Amino acid sequence: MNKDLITICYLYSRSMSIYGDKGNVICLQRRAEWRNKEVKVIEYNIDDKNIDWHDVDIFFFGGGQDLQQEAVADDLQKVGSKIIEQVVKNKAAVLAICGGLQLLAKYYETIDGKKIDGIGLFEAYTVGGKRRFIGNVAIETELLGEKRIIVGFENHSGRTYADWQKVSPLGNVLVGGGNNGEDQTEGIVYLNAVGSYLHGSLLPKNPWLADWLLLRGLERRYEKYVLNDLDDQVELHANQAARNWH
Amino acid sequence: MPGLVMSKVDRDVLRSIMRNVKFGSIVITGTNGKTTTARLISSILDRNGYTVLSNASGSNLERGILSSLVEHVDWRGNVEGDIAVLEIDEAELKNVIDKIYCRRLVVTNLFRDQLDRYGELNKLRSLVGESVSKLDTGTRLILNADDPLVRSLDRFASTDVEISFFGMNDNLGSLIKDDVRDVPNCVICQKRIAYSNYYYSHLGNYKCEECGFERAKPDLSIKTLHLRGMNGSEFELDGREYTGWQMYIPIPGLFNIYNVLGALLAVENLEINQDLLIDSLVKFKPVFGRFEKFNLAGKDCFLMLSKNPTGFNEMIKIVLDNNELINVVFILNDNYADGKDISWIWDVNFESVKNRINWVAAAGNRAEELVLRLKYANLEMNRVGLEKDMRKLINDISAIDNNEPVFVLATYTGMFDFRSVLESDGVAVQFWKDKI
Repeated sequence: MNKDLITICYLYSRSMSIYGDKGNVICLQRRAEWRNKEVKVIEYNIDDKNIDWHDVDIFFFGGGQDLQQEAVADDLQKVGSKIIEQVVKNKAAVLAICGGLQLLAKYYETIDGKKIDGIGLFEAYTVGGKRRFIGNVAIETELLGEKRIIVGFENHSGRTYADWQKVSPLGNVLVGGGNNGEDQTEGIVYLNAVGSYLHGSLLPKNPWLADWLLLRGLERRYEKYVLNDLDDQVELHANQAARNWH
Repeated sequence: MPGLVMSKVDRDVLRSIMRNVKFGSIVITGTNGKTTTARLISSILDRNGYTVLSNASGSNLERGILSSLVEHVDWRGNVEGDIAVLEIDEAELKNVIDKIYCRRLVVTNLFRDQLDRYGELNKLRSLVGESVSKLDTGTRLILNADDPLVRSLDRFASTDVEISFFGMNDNLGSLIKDDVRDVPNCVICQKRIAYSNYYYSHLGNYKCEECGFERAKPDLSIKTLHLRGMNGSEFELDGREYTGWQMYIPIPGLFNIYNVLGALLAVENLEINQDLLIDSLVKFKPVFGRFEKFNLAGKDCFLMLSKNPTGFNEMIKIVLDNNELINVVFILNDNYADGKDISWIWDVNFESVKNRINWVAAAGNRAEELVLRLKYANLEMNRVGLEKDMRKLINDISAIDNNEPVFVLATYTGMFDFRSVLESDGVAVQFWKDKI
């Protein structure tokens, strides 16, 4: 019997991988493999041709250094419409972390007034701030059917403000700065796309979110879908340990 | 802490101590290799009859430098020392560089390390660049040619600073496959940079086809190289007064060869005898926590500081080169000195230890996350132990039922936690007594 297939596209894997965000791709890949799926991971980098955007079930977009982020922003203007089409029309899932979140929103205005355009998938924008939000974060989310605590590590000076009529936050901040340090929100959800400031890596110690993304990706390809449970003791221990603030 | 008191009493005290040191200072900065390079230089100078002042490893911020140097000032205010060898934190250097009579500055490498503290690599490069721009006329700037971030620091130096480069020799070819991540783009123009040889991490022979920025030709390089794992390395030098010298150092790893090259350029043109120099390297004793060897219940145990992705990956390579099946302990702490952000362990190539494990344990205050990382590297989880109590961990190590060596890879404070139990058992000397 042929295995069910899932395709993960790692956007700008060369430039946007400074905070260990690669762990999110590893996590999606393993959790699909452990359920006997066939996983294809494709990487997209600046100027790459021959990407079959229509084949992508889940996009991953990580954080990068400021200079590299600008080069990525330029390239994104060329391929952004393909990504939006695949997400909005073809229901692909997305996880975008930090710089990835910022570039999927409308724009980023740096502290010295420079404006970097995003692709506007998220109804949100970001402005640079003086103080960086750095530290462990815990948020409470209801995205996953029941209340869950999501943990991670934030390191950003951008403040992101969203139009909450059009998009939802990923969760409410329990500890940390979150999107902007003001409205107690963290992350953005629109259709099957999730943006967040949380590194860590985020998915391995928040396995429900990983499975939410996998399920969205598989439903896209196969319509109705059920994921079998995995033994997540190790994941839950790590989630707990990340909350032992010291 | 005497350093704190003194820096408040007299902000110029560092300068007034250093003014009395005959040859001024040799300064070492960079992400990895500061401590070992400083110890190599001190060992060479000491063996050649110099009285060397140095700061203790880890005391590389202004306060720590001060408290280390104060020990060498007598009651009349005289300083007993010919030359100071100082390792200084890469972000701190700009605050002290004009107080320490720096005659030679060695920059080892710049890797991603503690983003929560140092910020991004480009910013770190600018910080070190600021220090370089403050170097006095006639100072020697000694740069790693193979690291594009370090090599490009020459642009910050004024024209009367003498610049020397060290690196591998082209004829060695690539030493690894492509695993470059920290520097995907040209440091100068941000376009894609092309490598003809890779040595480790983002070190290699590179050139930007857009703006022409390229690796500098090394003034001192390695002509032949034999890495002999835990037995150290043999190599022949090429360049300057060192051409043809056959060398041996008892500590493993390609990165330590780079440390030797930096050290040799740092002592160039001082009164150094060739035989004494070679001999001081042959007899080189590793600094505590850097391949420091202990005897635990008859087994060799090596403590290896591994504090960032590049360092960790290099240590794993050395361990895997040593044995088909390995005994290994990973210690992960997230204290301030380790960096609060542990995301970086997801960039460490733990996948490479899959199917190579004889015995493995995770320890430290974020051990649970390490176990998680090992799970996602597809390790056989029934072989992965978790032990947060250092005493029990050491008992577990002693009870391993094979006689192969045990490798302990630890972050900064994890290394001290592990070592302090060994100190109280008398297995390790107290770290502050660790001197050349």
